[in-house]
Amino acid sequence: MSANQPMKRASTLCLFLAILVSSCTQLAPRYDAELYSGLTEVNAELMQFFSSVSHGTNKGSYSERSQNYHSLIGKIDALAMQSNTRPVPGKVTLRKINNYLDSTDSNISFESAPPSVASLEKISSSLNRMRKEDEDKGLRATAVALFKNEVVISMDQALTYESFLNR
Amino acid sequence: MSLDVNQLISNIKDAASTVINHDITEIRGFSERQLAALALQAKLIANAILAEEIDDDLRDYFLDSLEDMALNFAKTLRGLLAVTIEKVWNAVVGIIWSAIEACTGISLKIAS
Repeated sequence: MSANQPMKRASTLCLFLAILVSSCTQLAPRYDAELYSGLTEVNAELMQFFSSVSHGTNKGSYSERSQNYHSLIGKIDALAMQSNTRPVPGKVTLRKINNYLDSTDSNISFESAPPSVASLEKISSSLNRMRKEDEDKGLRATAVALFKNEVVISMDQALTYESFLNR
Repeated sequence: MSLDVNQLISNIKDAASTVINHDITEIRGFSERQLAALALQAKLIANAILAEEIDDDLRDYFLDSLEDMALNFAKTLRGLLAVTIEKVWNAVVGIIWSAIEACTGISLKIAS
């Protein structure tokens, strides 16, 4: 056995490892600068709207706000759709990881849809509920603060995830 | 040129640690913001119920909503984790590829 035999074995092992690992992989969608920009813009519009109703509303003046609600809900729904229609990479790798996680009964499988979709859908549902409440009864300042905090929480989730994709 | 296995292991550890340390800082900041906002929401709901400022329907809605947002928080954390795993994976593969290239002189094209 020659002196450099162990080195040859190590090199062969590394080569096989490299082939096994195959190459660079992608487990999450690509960063979408346009989507992120859309999120920051609609976030500013949302905060302006919440500021304008922070003292509460009267159902008698709902018609003045109706267009604001529909415009914001429409923009959020469009962004959720934009996030959800991105190609999802690494489905095979993700399936392998999920198969392993499922075998451990840990119930923590990775979903193929980006989590920002669920967060944006939540913002849309919060605004819809707020709009309905405003139209039917008007809103107290406390209710406005509660709806605003819901939107802030969900928007933070969407913005953080989309920004994190810029790797 | 032979491959220094100990150096390779050290390089892999460094690459993985750099990615993990950077990402953990960001994830920790996000988690702290979310937990503070969820706690504030719980406090606002409790105060509104005590002061009778929201009716039963709206109370039930906000309580269900809190649960949905906590679930979305967990989903977002899982999404962030997937990105970190991807970055660690690619950093490790990059180190292994470079080591083999340096050792064999063969150019291995790394798919992006």
